[in-house]
Amino acid sequence: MTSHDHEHFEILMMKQVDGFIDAAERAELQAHTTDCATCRAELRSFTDLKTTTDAMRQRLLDDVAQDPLRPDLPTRAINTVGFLALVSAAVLCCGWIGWLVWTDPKIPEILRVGLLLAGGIGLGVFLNVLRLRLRAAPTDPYREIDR
Amino acid sequence: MQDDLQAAMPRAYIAAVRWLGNPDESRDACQEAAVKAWASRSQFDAKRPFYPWFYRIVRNVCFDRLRVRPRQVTMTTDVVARDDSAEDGLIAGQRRAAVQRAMAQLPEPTREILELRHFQDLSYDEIAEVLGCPNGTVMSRLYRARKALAQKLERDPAVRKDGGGR
Repeated sequence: MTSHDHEHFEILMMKQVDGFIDAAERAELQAHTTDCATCRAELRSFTDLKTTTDAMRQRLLDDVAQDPLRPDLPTRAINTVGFLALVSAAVLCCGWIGWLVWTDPKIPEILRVGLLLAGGIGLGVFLNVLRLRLRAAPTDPYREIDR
Repeated sequence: MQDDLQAAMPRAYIAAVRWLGNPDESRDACQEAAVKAWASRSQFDAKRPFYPWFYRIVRNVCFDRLRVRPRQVTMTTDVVARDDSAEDGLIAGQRRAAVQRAMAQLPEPTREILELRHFQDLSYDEIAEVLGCPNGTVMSRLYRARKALAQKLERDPAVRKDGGGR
């Protein structure tokens, strides 16, 4: 057998081990391995190897199936003009209300300062929670569960 | 791309855990790779298969992490330790550990093609895409890699004691 022939059977052996071989190629390889003890032994050792690594791979897949990995990506909603528009509208509304409170002479000064501080902190917390919820929504593992 | 990334995560985890050895660090590496892929999504050519492109990012993230480790930790020590348990047969566990040891001794290009075919389950076309070589070269390199691995296994005392079988 020439080295060219041998290369041909090496490729057929790879296809056989990986399950990519067609019927004609399988018959050709089978005829060859019946006569060639070297290729027969090689094919057996490659097949054993594949069986072992398939089992190893399956164990890793089982591991990840028990605790699925979800890509934690920044969602588009955060980056879009829509989110920025929402933030701007919220700031404008709160600013307008704040201005009304600040300029109302009936409200004592200490109460005005307190209300504005509370409003500013509340707005900041609300926007931050909204941002985090939007970011977490696609990867929330409990999203299928009724709340 | 979000769906592609979601579908790719289990395979990416296998790649990471095979390089890094530690399941928790591998999960972090996969997340890091996903964020990097997402950030550079404009560079992805939608006409080409997604996974080979993403695999290269995962591989780079793992290699970056290996580079900053205080010392080189060979792959999957945790997985081997678990394989050694008696839960599903001592001989099968020994065989898997022997394969692990033998693969760790192979040169990196040889080991990588085995990782791509045996653990990433990539087709020959996808492996060619990752390695940037023709399909025929993939098959001949795979043959040589498997032969090298089989020879290392034959020399492993655990496999020889077991008679070289499964």
